[in-house]
Amino acid sequence: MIILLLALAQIDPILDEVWKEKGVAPAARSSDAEFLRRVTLDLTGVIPTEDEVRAFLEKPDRAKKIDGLLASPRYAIFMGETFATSLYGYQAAFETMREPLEYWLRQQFEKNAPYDATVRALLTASGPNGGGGPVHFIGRFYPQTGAPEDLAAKVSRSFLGIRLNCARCHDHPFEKWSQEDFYQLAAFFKGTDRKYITQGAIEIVDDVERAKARWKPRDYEKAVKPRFLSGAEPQTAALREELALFVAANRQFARAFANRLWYPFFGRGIVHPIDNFGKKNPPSVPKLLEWLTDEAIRLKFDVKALIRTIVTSRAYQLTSVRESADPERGRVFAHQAVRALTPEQTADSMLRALQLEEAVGGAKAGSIRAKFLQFLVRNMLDQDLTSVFEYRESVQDIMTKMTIELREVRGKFLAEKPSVERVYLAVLSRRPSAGERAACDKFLKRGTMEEVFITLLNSHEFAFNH
Amino acid sequence: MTNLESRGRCDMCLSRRHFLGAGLGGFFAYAMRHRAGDLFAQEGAKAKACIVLWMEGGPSQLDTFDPKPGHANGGPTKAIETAAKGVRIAASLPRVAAQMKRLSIVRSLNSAEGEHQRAQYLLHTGHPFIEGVAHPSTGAVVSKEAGGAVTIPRYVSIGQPGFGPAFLGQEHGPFALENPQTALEMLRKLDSKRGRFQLAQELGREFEKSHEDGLLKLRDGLMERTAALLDTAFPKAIDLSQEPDEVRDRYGRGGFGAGCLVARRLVEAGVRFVEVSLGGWDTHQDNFNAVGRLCGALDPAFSALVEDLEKRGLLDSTMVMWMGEFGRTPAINADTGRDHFPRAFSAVVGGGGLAGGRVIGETNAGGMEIARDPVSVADLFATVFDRFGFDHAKKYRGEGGTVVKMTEGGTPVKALF
Repeated sequence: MIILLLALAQIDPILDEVWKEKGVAPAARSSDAEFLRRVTLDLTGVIPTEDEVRAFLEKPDRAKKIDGLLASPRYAIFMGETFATSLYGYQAAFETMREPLEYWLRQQFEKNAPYDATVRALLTASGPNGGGGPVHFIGRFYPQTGAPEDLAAKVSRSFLGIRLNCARCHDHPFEKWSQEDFYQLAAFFKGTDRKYITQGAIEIVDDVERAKARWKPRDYEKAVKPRFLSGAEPQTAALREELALFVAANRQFARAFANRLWYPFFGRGIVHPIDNFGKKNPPSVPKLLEWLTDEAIRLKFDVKALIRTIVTSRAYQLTSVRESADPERGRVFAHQAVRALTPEQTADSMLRALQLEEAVGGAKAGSIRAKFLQFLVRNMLDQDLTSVFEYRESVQDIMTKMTIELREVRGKFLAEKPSVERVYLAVLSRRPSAGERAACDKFLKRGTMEEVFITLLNSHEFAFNH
Repeated sequence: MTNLESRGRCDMCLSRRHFLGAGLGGFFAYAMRHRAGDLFAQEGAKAKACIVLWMEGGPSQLDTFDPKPGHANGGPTKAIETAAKGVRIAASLPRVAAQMKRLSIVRSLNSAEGEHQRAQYLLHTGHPFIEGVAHPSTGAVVSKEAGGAVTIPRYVSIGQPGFGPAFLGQEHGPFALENPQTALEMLRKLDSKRGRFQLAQELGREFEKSHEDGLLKLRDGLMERTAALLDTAFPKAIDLSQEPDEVRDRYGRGGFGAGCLVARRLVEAGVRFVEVSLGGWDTHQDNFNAVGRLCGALDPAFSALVEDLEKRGLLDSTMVMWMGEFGRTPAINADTGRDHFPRAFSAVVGGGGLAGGRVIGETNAGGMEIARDPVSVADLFATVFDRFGFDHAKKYRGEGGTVVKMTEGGTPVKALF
């Protein structure tokens, strides 16, 4: 417990020092309502209910709330979704699917499996795609036997935060990576075989003979042997097993992990984007990154513990309120950010506000949630989601949300003739200001509460986390 | 850095040289523009809009625009004469045949991508898919290069979601009309609820004032564009009840026919790029019956579209393209189907300053090989962009400072001019 308290103290002193050095003023502490909405969205992917907001405003115990959210089943569901998005994307390909991978990731987060173990399982997965689980990651980026380039690029970005893509065609123009480095990493997959069983069914297996055989990449002038970026070379033909060990044992892996966990809670990584570590893109607060990396190693890649460390920090709990833009303050986390919601966060928050609670987090095909998600996700089908989650609302999204049908809300919530305050609590998770109350009262002389409800549901405030 | 020039696919990375050049700022940019102006003064570039008829799944070239009657690979498909002398196409496309003076066939298109998603990416962006590098779609490029503020959506995708704008900005992304009728109803409803935009502004004032952030401004713009859409020609353009029965019958009553008619109306309303999708071409089984059915939808819609564009004086400024992600194997498989074949396939183009009645390239007797004048996907895209008057080698600054060219390594096909 003492060790834990010491650990908690670290993020903030480091940032305090940086803020002083740079002469930036940190923002004030967030209000309780602001904190509650943010942390509930960040840890469970959905806005709090009206009752949760009331209860928390009555007794705002932040640490207890954080523990409660981390222990809720929605934590693992949401983490599974965000990691599936980053590792797989939304578009199925090459006889693989997102859902089995997402489900497996959810289970990993449920039992709080150490992150290094999860990544090792992803890198070494084999077997038929029908068996589900981590094999859908390898299969997704390994379109055919002997073509491991995409996989090497994805692995280095996802788990090491390094963009080797450039080195695919020529030595990296800025960073130290050579083309040979890229193909030597790719060579770890040369023994991996993608077997077609029947249409739609494949199996990922490892072939010892192929693993021992010479490999010449299609777009590179000479044959290469597997060699990890650190210089480590495999001693056996179990190439993927060895790669997994090399990756997970490297400090850059821990650094990329710490940065990856930091990113969603602030809307920017300490190195940003999180897959682009390198001399040309230094961390905005190097000391913080190294401390967080040490902490990740000390905690043995305990995902929940590191998240707890992050969200209990003062920095996380600063307000996002600011009246002028100053990118430097944002870079050193001197205020909280306005950030895009994932499609899942949008869907579940709208469903909750629309009194369709039973659909929240539901995964059933053809369900209201699944259909809504499918609609929201179409803007990002062709996007690379490995590192950065961009705001991608479109005109059609606004059209759809502005004309959404309030059947359930009308029958349940609005039938109770709720006050303006209740509507604000249910949709924006806070009480209205005096000015907003007055504006609503004025509008309600002619207009209906239903219009107020829909308008708040379409507000910027609802559309983002902040 | 020397291998930067010598190897292919170097578009993803910013070389030190490019970086320095960019550092010179305005002067460099001016010099580049000036040079580009000299090098790429395009005569006859008059395309303002483009309609792509997208044959999802990969259409059989042998049973549409490169028939091989008399050869075992040709199957039962017969060829007919067309309005263009010496140009023969499949007998299941008689009405398209009558329009062939306005359309040209590229029979020597080829790529290395035989997998649907990768090939669709290639034929929508002009670039091979590379993990971690995003390229804007053709529609987004056309939208972006049209310049100025976007009011009416410039890139509309009918029947499928369309391909994204990558780094060009969300306003250049596809406006997906999965069903024009549904969209029309939604717009009508929104029209009756315009007050919501005003109330949103009023109630959002405090939050916006206290959160100075680019994302809020971005979403402000989106709200404004949505509200403004109601006052553009867009809602009327997607309303097919305005068309007489005779016209609707001529295009065909199915989704694809309606889509092509909407496409024409959208171009008339000022939309720059419309893609209309016809799915079902992945004919691994029962190829000939399936293609016959598909041609039943394609023939009236394609021909009516070209006919109407010509009649309305729009064909000169509106390019029409027919293509899919790849072709089908000339050899017929055990299920009377054809499999994926990117090695030699066909596309059809016309309008927008492109010549009609010509055939570019040729496949050999069995359709297995290109016999002459191969055209790469990059060549095809360079041709399109050139006819729009764009510098097809223009460099964009992509994500993380990477340089992405409009097309990489393509040369406009002059034989189509």
